[in-house]
Amino acid sequence: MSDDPIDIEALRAEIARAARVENPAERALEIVAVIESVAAPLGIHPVVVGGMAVYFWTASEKFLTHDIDVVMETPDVLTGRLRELGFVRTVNGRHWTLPDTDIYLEAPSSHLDANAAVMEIELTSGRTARVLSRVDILLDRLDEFQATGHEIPAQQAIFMIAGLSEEQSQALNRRAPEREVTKILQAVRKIAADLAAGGEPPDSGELHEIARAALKPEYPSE
Amino acid sequence: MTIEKMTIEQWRREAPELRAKSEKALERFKPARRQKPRHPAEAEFLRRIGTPERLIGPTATEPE
Repeated sequence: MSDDPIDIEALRAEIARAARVENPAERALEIVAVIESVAAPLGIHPVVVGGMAVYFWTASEKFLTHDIDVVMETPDVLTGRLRELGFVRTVNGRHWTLPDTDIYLEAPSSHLDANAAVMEIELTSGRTARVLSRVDILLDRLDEFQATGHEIPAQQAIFMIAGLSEEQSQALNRRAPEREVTKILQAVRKIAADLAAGGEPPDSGELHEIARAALKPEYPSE
Repeated sequence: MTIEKMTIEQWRREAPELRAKSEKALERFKPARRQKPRHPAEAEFLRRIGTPERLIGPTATEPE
């Protein structure tokens, strides 16, 4: 932990500046970077996950909703610092707004997977913010698609598989078994290959079927 | 946990290619509709900033 004093007034000015950044990813990262500056002395490093991370890794607004999901612990001392920065906590304690801005923050959980990888981004302000890696976001989407059969995680998985580097693809193959998403990964790759060959996209009912099939044990008991 | 590093300038340079590859993969899909329930306060915020209803999805009846 650092004993450096924190200049809250200066950080409030930085938050206000960050909230006006035009690009949604850069705005989100600049906001999280200011939070990092009050959280890091407590040993806490927020990591952007969810839809904003999908936006970061695809640069497409197809699924963009502008809310910012971060994985971080929120002990009382950090909650107090977020309040000093101007954030207002909602009743359920996981959601934060910044009044008179379009900033909405949610801390859905406090820990990443033990094997997670993150990308640390150096920003225009000189600050840094962390985003969950493309491979980890893809693993999350595969997990959600397998569990629910829903269209959005299915499309996001197909969306994010497109353009993976060879190295990222190999990392995905290595990490899929630990998340138990190997079969759904194969299914999503098959959908992507079929589409590339001119096939029709699966409808909602077919996506549910694909997810159900992926959940079945490979060798059913007698 | 492993940490890699990049700059926002690098992201800006790579963004057009990332966008083109991703969007091409979904070009024949109909726009997806969120089916997972969302917290009422979050849904209200998203409506206020003009988010399409299909991305807001259903609102949870009981706040989580």
